[in-house]
Amino acid sequence: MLDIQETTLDTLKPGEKARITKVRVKGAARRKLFDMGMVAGADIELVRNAPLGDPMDYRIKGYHLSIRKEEASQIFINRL
Amino acid sequence: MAINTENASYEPDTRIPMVFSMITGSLYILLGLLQLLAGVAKILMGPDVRIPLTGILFVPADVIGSFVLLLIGTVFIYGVMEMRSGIYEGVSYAYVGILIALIFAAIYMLVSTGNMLEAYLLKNKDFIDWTPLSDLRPGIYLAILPLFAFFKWKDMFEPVPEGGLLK
Amino acid sequence: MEKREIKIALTGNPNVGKTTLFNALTGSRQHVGNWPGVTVEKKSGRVSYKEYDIEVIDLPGTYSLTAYSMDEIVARDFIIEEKPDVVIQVVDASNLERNLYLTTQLMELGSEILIVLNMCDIAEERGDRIYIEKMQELLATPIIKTVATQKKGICDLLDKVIAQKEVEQHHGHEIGYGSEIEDKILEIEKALSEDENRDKRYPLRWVSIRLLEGDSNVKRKISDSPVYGRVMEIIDSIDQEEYEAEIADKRYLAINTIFPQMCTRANDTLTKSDMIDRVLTNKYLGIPIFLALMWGAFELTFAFATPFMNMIDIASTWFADYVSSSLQPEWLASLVGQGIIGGVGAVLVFVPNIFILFFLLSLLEGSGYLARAAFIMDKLMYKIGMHGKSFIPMLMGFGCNVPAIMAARSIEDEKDRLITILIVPFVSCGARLPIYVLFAGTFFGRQAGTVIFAMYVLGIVIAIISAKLLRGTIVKGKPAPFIMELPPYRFPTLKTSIIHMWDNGFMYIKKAGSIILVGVVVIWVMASFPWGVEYGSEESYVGSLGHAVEPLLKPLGFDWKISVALIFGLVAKEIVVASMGVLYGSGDSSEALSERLLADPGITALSSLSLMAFSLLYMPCVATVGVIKKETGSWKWTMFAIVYGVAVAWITAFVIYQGGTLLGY
Repeated sequence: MLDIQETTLDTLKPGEKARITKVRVKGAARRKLFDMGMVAGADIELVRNAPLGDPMDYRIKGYHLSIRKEEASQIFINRL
Repeated sequence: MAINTENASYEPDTRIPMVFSMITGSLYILLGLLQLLAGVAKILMGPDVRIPLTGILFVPADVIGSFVLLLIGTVFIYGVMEMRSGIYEGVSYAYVGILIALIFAAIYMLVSTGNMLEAYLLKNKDFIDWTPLSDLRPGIYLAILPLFAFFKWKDMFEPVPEGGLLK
Repeated sequence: MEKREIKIALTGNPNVGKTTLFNALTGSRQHVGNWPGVTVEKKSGRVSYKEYDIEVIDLPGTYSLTAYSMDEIVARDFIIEEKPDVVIQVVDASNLERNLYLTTQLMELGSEILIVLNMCDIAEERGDRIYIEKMQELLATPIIKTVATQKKGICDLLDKVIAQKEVEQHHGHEIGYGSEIEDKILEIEKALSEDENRDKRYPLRWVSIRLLEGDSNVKRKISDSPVYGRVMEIIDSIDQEEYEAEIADKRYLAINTIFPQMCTRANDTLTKSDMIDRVLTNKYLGIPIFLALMWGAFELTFAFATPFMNMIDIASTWFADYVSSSLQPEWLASLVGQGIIGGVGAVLVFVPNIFILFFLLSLLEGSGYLARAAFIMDKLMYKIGMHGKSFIPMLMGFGCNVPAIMAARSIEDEKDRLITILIVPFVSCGARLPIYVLFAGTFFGRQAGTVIFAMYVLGIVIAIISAKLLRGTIVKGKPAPFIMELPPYRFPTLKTSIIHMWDNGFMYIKKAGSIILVGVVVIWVMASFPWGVEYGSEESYVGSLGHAVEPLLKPLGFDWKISVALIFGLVAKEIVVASMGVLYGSGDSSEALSERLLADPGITALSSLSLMAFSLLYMPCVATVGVIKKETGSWKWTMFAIVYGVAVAWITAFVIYQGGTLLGY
């Protein structure tokens, strides 16, 4: 599926919003992300980066979730 | 301060937190600099150096403590800058500045309580000259301003209607 | 009248006020321990209400009941195997969607659920509206709005619990996962049901779903079953990752379909919590504020604790003297006075520190700042092969290694936690400072400050190298992913913090205490026998041992006296100084000791440097060894910590002493 708008979560800038399309993270982190609400179709917003640039503070399902860029780069989104 | 809750496009008034932050922030920075000077002078020139004003202002020669004062001052001034450029979330800095100022005042007062126990209860000879005034320092008395602001926050500082700031 | 027993379990996401509710329910009648076999804290308590005797078990806070962490496994095994009469889920009203995810899993487990809606004030303040009646109807579970700290709310809750228990009606509220997955679920259920000896406490549907999600813990549970092969065939035939995603999707979909009917959320607003985060995680101010707060915490821990430490010191010295002079025979007086009371007293001195550290840690955790500390420091920690959550335990290590190792409990990943526990002892704790002060002060004069600072840096460097080394060898792999909620800031409650401080402080005294006691008795025996020799003198066993290990320590520049002092230092490192005093016959005066040390040709500036490094790094004190054993639950890792520490210390001291000698110092 080629969607020109599709990109990864780590490219989001503070204040930008997106909708998750696919989670390609592997291993135990995958299920943990699902448990925390990072499922396809969920809306997500980057609130800010940590002072040292990584990890990131996202708002999803009305709460703040923090993940590293490494995982974020394996989560696909459509920018809103 | 009258707040129009109906009108979503209402521009919140940040004058009070701005003026407060300006005054409090400047005081913290000034005394922080004085304390830094006293601390550095003590390290470089020995314990007998007297910097003017440090006596009557109860400024100890404490470098780390001066960083704390400067930090609190910077937080307030950072907020002033944001509020001046029209970002009303800048009021956050006033709020957090107040909290941090109070936290450190509480820390200093608890430490002072510990010293009091040493002096009066344990009669430790290192604390023979200790009086309650020995531990008075800008970090404690400057916090009176934030303390006042903390209790008046809802009435005077919050430039927002019930339910938080509109984004 | 015989009271009727009810067993209830408290579950819920972390940071939803579960502990506050637990404390309000059980008051002081609680028991803190560990779940069997794991280092997950188990809290239980009792409450008498009307004609019922209610046992309350506080399950670990979890977001889900998958097998991501030990916490989750403990929680779900308890619900399935112990079958509590009612499972109370504490739900954060300001964060309903994610909280309900756990609800869907609890329902799948077939438990009798009762929802307690907490934090309604926060939700309402921000403009959310929750329709409780509707929610009750849609979820088919009773819902109670509580203010956890108020008596009335608690009574309402207990009434509902009793009613729920009496009704005993199981509602089948299930999520449909779509025809493809449902077919597979049926297939697995069918295969599983043919095994007559299966554990019937586990609902078939739940086991099937967990297997489709690739839950290795459940897989292991059925691995003895004769139908295991057939089940695995079915599982191998699917694209497991797809199924995992689909199942989670469906759960959230189920929530999303009912969610708009029971809650309307206000537009995005800037809350107090957002305001605080804007500053505390600010690009420029975040780190300075963090450092300042940590400095403040230390200042408080040490300055405020000092008078209490002095009180304990005075009391234990007095008590030891009193016992020594009044007990008969002489050996008993010496054992109890000098050995037990003196030794235990030396370690008890740290109790005020430990209590305050735990109190502050609980404040940090309760306020929500602990999560930000991990958030701020994660990048730095990741670079050295560790997790952001390891930072706080390591920092606490500068105070005392014991609470630091206990604080490592907050790290979920077993490997991350193990590495943290193993490297914390290299962080120079407060008890090592007197050693540096004595030797640096004696041999380095004006450079003493620099030397002491260098010791702290050495500890950190060794800790970092060890972390990297362990990551590359025995604890392979990358640090666990950082997936962490940043909970809203709250004013921590004093009661919760005090209870937390009390529980952990006493745990330290109890668990570490028994090992310390054994340690001090052994040391006393070695220092006092053969009977009649002067305590700790050359003729005693410890003196002989000092002579025996002297050849090993000679390359480091240590003679038998230093060896003896180091052996004593195992009880608590600052005892090194006191025993040097005994060995040099200088009494309590540190000036006299300094003079005699300078006069002794056996000890030079270089060997004192080597000694400082050695005492920093060698085997952790008995209290620390005690907690390492307790927290890792394994003698193997405890022994490793000891052997590794001694090896590192020996090599470092060797390099310092021999290197220095080569350079001509």
